[in-house]
Amino acid sequence: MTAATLVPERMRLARGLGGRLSSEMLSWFCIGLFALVCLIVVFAPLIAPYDPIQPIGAPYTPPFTSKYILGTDSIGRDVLSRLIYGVQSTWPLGILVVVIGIAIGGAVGAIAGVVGGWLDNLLMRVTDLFLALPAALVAIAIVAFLGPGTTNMLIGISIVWWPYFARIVRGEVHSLAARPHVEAARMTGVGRRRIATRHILPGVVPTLVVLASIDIGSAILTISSLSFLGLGTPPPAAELGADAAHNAGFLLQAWWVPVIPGLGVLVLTIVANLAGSGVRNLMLRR
Amino acid sequence: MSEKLLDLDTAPHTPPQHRADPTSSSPVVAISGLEVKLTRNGKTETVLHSLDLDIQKGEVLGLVGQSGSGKSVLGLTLMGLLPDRSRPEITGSVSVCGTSVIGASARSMRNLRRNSLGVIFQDPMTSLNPTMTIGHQVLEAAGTKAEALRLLALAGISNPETRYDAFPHQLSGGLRQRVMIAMAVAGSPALIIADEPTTALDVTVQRQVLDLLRELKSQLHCSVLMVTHDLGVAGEISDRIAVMSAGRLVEIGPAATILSSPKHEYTRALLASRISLDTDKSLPLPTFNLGGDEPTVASDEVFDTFVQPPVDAPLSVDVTNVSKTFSVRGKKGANTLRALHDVSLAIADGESVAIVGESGSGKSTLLRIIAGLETADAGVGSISRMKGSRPQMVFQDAGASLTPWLRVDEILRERLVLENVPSSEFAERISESLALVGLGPEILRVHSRDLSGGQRQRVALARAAIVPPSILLCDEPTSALDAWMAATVINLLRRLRKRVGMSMLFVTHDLSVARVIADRIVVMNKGEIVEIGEANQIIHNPQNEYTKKLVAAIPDLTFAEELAS
Repeated sequence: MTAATLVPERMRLARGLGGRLSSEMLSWFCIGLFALVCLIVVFAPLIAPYDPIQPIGAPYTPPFTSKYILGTDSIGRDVLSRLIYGVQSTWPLGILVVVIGIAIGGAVGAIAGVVGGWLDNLLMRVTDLFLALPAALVAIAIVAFLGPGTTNMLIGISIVWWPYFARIVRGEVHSLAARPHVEAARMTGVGRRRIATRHILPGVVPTLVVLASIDIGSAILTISSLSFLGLGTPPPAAELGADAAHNAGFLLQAWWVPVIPGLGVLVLTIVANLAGSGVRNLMLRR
Repeated sequence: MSEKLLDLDTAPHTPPQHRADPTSSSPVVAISGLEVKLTRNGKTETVLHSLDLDIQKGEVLGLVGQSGSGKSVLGLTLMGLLPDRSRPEITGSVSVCGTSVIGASARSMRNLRRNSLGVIFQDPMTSLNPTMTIGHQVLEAAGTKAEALRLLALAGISNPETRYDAFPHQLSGGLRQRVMIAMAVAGSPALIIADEPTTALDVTVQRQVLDLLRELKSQLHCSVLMVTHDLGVAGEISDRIAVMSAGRLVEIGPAATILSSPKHEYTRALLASRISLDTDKSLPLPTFNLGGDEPTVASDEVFDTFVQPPVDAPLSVDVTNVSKTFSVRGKKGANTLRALHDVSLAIADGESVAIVGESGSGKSTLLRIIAGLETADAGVGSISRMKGSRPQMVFQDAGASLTPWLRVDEILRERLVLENVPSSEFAERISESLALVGLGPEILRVHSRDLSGGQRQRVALARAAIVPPSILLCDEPTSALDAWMAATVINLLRRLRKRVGMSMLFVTHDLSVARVIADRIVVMNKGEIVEIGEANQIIHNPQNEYTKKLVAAIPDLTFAEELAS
């Protein structure tokens, strides 16, 4: 018996590599990277070789030339240690911004979608108002008004972060409410509140999880931008955005001092986005 | 994939070769020993088993079978369009118009499709590009505008010049299917593969499309592979009929012979399960369990063929002078669409009434107003609640009417709680209702999204029956099912009605189904009731012109029997 297929040999090989199984493994790998960063955050004091605040060696030691693997900065602090502590301050903040955004936006969207009528109009016009404002500028204005610092930065970004979620949740609620299973529940005599909590809102959760996981990357980027502008925790605390900004002037003399925290932001954003895509792929498969 | 896309434009346009020798007697399609394995959800299954089949030049072959019988897979194999992700493994030999399909390069398959094949799919709305005018789409296949116009006219589209610039959504379903046909016959293909081309259409439109296909076949002398689940449709235009079951060809022969004296038990079962206008109403519809997981209904039940409610019977549904208009936003501002105009309908307690009509006739709107899911602009609709619980509805897509993340027992319990059934009776009621629809208790722990299509239908029925409703409203519950499942659902509904004594209002586009299930039939057209009468009288002695047209459009097997005798 001669076995032949419609697909040429080369494509079959590619399909084997990029097929279902390996794509699932890839998704889990990306989520694993996310978990790895979380571990770094938790165990930062154990991983970091030196104190991030105290000078420990000669200033401007280049990377890979001494026991300070990534070199030292302008006053002789270990760049690697500052990177690790920078990750520790930025990463949870990114997750927190998204969690707060979902809490506020999800509540607003769910109430608007479920209750409808004038309340829907009111909440959505407020949402539109926030969406119309340039989010980063408003966040900067709020933090500038409240004063720099981690908590204020969290407040500032969270205030502009929720409207997006409100929109999505309301849309999902509306599309679920038009499904036959909701009509069937109405025919069964289920009350409005119970229809919302039992037959509509659980259906929004998968969408929210996917959105949130994809959103963490851009939250991290926004946090780092604000920190770059000096609106985060004041020095000498280690922060990726601030470290890149403070040393930007030495780019030509000691490139590693501003570039390494910048690369840190890049890597964190990529890891968050990859994990987001991984979560989406796995959820879509269900 | 990238390989397929890359040389799309560079492939030379080879002229069709099949026209070179019109007297050639070699078959257009020659299949021998074909075996197809597909991988779904990690499991590799043999979908087609050692299949031998020829389609002669100019022949129409009807390929008939249940869903899952492999008939669509065969069509896709001929076109070389089996999806890569199901990792098709094909053995045997398949030649289409002299080209060996198995192991052919992407380019030669594309040339084959371009030059020798035409395809008509089930749903013209999803097969046409919504962002392109139909003229443009036909032009892609036809080459020149003159040819495109000729094809549109050939496909029976009147005023092709004005329709040329129309977008698919501006055309009716029947016209859209004609556009698909115009594209399929472009370049006079040697073979047209039609996959359920009339299933999504109303009966009268189906009739027109079947007539058109028959006409085109004689004009163009091309072969047609007509894939359908409906023996009636296959019988209408096929020279030969091939019957498939579970990936095997069980019987093939001249259409008249297959329909009048089928040899294989599967073909006989398929014929028997077809609900026709002469089906015996007093008995359960025959259902055959050939390898499926669907339990059959006891066949010793007898149903009443006609219930004449007493003149003073209390009314279960009383609708008076109901009108409803929808506003439709179009290019030229808001238009109003009159869905219902001055409709009155009374259903007596215990009576079963079917509403029939084509899409857009307002039958579903009427049902939804009665159900309370839609409010009327004018008039009164009321459902009496003096007997039994609130009304229940069975939806066209029963699966979608179950909340996906709830377990079956949660779904059933919810209704018991809301009907104030004492919780001590829960267990008994649940097991009773599951037994009624033929499901075991193990299903209670399953989330409804994990149920099979047939199980969902049954759970939806169990939910409706667990507390007998005053009236059961059914919105096309059988139209998405093949003959077996439809027969099973109809039997269940009739059994429910017999046990529970509820009234029933059944919306369907299928007159044969309406006749079996209903005492009275209401015929609707363009938002108005045109005829109401006893079921058999409406079918066998219609008075209204529109009803006559509807009845005449139903594909029937009787002519085939005449041919054979």
